[in-house]
Amino acid sequence: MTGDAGRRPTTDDLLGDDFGSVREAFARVIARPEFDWWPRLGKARGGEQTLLDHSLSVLDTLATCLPFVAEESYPPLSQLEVRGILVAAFVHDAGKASDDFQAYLRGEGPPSEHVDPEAIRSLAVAVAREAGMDLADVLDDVVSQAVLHDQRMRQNRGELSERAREHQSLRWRKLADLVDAADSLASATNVVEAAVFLARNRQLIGGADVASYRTRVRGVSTTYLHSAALDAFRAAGWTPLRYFEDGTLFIGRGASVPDSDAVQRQVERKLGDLLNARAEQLAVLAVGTATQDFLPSPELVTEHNLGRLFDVAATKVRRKAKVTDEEREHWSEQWIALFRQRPQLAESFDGTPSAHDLESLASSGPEICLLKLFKNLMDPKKGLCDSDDVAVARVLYEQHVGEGSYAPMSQQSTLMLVEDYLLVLAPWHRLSSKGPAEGMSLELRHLDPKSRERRIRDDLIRITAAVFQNRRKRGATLPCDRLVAEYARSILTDFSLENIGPSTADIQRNLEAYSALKAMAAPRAPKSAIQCSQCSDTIEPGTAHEHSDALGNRGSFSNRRIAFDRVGSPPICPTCTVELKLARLCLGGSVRTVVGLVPPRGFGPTEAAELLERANGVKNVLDRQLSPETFDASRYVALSLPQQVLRQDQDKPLGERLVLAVTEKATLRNREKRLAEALSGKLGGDDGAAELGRELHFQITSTGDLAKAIVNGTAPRAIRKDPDVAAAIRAQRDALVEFGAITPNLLVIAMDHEIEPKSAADRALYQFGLAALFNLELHTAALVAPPGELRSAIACRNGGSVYVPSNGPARRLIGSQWMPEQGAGVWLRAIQAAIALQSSLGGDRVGPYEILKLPNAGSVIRRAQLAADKEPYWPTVWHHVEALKEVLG
Amino acid sequence: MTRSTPLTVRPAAFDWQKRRADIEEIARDFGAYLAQTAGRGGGAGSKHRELGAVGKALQRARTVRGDALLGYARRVHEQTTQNRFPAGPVEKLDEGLSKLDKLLAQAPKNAVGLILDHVGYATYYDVKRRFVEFQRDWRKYVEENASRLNLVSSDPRKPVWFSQKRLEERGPEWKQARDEFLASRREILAVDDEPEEDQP
Repeated sequence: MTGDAGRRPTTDDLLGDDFGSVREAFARVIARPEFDWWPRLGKARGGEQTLLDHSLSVLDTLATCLPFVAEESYPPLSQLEVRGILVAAFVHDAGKASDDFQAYLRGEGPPSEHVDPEAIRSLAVAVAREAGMDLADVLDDVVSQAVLHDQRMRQNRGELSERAREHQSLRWRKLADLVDAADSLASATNVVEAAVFLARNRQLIGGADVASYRTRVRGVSTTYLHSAALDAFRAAGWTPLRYFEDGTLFIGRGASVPDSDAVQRQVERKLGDLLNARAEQLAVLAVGTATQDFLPSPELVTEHNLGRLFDVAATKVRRKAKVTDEEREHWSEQWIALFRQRPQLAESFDGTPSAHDLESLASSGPEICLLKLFKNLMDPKKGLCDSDDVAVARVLYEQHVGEGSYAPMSQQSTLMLVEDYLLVLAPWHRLSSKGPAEGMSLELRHLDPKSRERRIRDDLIRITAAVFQNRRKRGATLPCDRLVAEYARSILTDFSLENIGPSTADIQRNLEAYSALKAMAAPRAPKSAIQCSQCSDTIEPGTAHEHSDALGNRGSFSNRRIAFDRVGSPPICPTCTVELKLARLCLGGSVRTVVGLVPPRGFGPTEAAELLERANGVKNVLDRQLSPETFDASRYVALSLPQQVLRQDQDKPLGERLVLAVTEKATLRNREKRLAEALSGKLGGDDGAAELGRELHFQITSTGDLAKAIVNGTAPRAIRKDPDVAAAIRAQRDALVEFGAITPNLLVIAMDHEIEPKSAADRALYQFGLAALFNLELHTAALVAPPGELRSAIACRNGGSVYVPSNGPARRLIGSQWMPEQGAGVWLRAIQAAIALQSSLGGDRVGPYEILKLPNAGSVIRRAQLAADKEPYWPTVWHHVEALKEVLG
Repeated sequence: MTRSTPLTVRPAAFDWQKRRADIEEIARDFGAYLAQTAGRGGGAGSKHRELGAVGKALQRARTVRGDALLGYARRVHEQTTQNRFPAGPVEKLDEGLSKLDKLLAQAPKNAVGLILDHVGYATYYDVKRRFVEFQRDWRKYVEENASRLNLVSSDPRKPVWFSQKRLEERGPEWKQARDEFLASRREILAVDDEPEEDQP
């Protein structure tokens, strides 16, 4: 079987069929009740790989290598041989599905034999029939090839008994070696192990070349690195063979390995796409808070988004509708104190604030924020302007507002309403409402606050645009011009091409950095090397350490460091800073909790996209169940897994099934709105929707009605099946998928709803529980934690399935950083039980952590008797007590 | 001059988690004893009352071991149950105390209090577990026979188990239900307790 002349045959050519559809047919068979592989494990290892994942992984590995094997096979591989070997690869572990072996894998039973020729034969027959293959003649070949994947069967009597079968192919034994090698390669736990295996066992690849890259796992930036490297290797003619969270293994013949520059170009392209896609959100991310850093990300400022920037800035402090007596007194005190410091103010104001002044103060928040943003834009420390630009800005500002008005504006610091109003905003309020030149009697302060704000905004935008234009004319750049290249360069520091372990250059660079840091003689410089508080890397010389967004300690208080020493200002390396900023950019805003998923090994891009969609589905369901914004612990107990719904309605598409999982009370975040917009586009507005309703005898008058009916499940199936409606549902689902960083190696998505319990330990326990839910639903290693923890979490995974967030008490309680799947399920039930019994055990005074710290289940019962006025009716809550007993004893 | 090797001691923390199975076994014995001696249906009361002779013995076990402990427990049993017959339920108490004695002998002194606390609460859990099973059976019985016996309850999902005293207030139908229910339980217990016939 060969392909076109001069072209390497593909797996489809060799198989004589579409491999994708054959693979789907195989997976369909094992989902049947008589096989029921869905919940069964393939490997112990903390339950990290299901039997289905492992079997598909071996199948994919062999299918990827087959074209290279076929090139060197003589006589050429026959179609029957190829089909037989692929079936053997898929069914080789059929014996592992037995209850005895599953009990052994879960640590609940004695060792059990898993090589079962009869189970292999029956499954092989079933999958071959489903895929439309006639393997009757080579069934013994298939069984032997599958049986001999086990080392014990390849020795002594095991192999002899296989030789007794009637084999069709003369090289059945050689082909059995391929299944064995594919199984071993698919079981490798990291890219180094896989590369070393292929270097020593070349039967799978023959004379083909192998290449790989490694990354240090950091988080969202790692997904960009994986994605860029995948594109660069593909462009150079390599085929991806195995995906790991820290690298990918490729196979190819005669292809050259792409260099770091090629990967960097790909990263830059992807970052450019991201910035374009997030253009609307850049301003939101660039502007900080009025009490801290007001412009934390000046690199996101461009000439084109000035309007949006000022709009966002104006929302940071709201106008006060009513001034309380307390505020009036407080402001009056500040007013009088300021007058003592600056007597010259008496020329323009009275010594005590009038009623009109107080009213102006109450409504001046947005206007002061506009000026605060302008001050930050013109601040040379932010890197958007230099001294020449400041001179231009000063001239333009003073021309507009008045002589000497720029200096007080540029000295603004943390928001101080009275001072900012008197020194900075008041000169604006005295401007003529028609413009300064006309000198009309009507002044800005006479206008309503909204018109005043609009006028100040427009004037400041005009001045800023002129300053930036002048800067461009001088040939100077803005930080946004260098953003993509700088981010890409920073991300690339984690990338290593076929370097197993740190290279000599890496070590040399770290040593130099260490020496340089020690040599720093500045009085306040650290005496020993600084390590990044997130990734523990040495911070390189010449790069300032910055505050951490993830740790929530970005502050501008000048005494913070004095008060807290370095604890108040933990060092963070530039790469981690980029990582955190990229996470905000990629995940759609300031994210406090992310879901990180490490797919089972052997996932390809198609499966990763499917997994992302499912993960987003689960996330949305959990998010909805956890809404509203103020966390209600009782909702946590009632979290329902979509998987349970999936089992109920197997004939419906995933999206519809997920909708069914939503509780009635939960609000759907923009879902109806998004769907209505998508429907409007597809159906041509409300008229189209009404017409569709008439056709299908369903009472609807607008796309909004239709969206509502679809979301709450009352729309008939015929409407959902309409091609336009189905396309709109899909488009709306895709819109949710965009908030994810996706690669076959690693997935990162953001949680919308924050969990805000009273203690950090409880928060960690809730997050751990959510990760357990993701793990149970998707069978991937899962972590739910702040974005800054991604790196350290994945670095210490070691085959674990569910991550325990970095909280000392929570970790001491659970006993590890990562939990195996079964253990996580037990703890999840216990956490839910603790929440359910909370009201009986002291209400808000005790959180789940305190309950789980009780010595045993008996003391829980006793405490419930003593704490509550009325003892709970135990039969209805006894299952919770039993769940607690599993962990407490 | 001979040089002697210094004696080194490596202190290791007593891992009571490893003794969890032993503790639960002891608690089961105590639970079985209490199930047969305490009033059927449990009832609200202090922990001391619910644990009866077991609670007193666990207190005394902090300072007393061996036969003295067994004798003390026997005496408390006789006083609380007014039963001097040396066999029957009290044998379970003896068994549990013997196992407890063995466990405490292996434990360091500073772990004794912790172990006794755990045994006490594990026994309390066992007592409650039996009571919950009893309540579940009672609820099921009331659900199944409510219409037949004309039983009216304020919350049918949580039928209360009434003591003899309060039964008078509830009416004859509840007394009949109570008697029938206890009779059916006695039958089940009798069948369960019956020894298997020897095979010919």
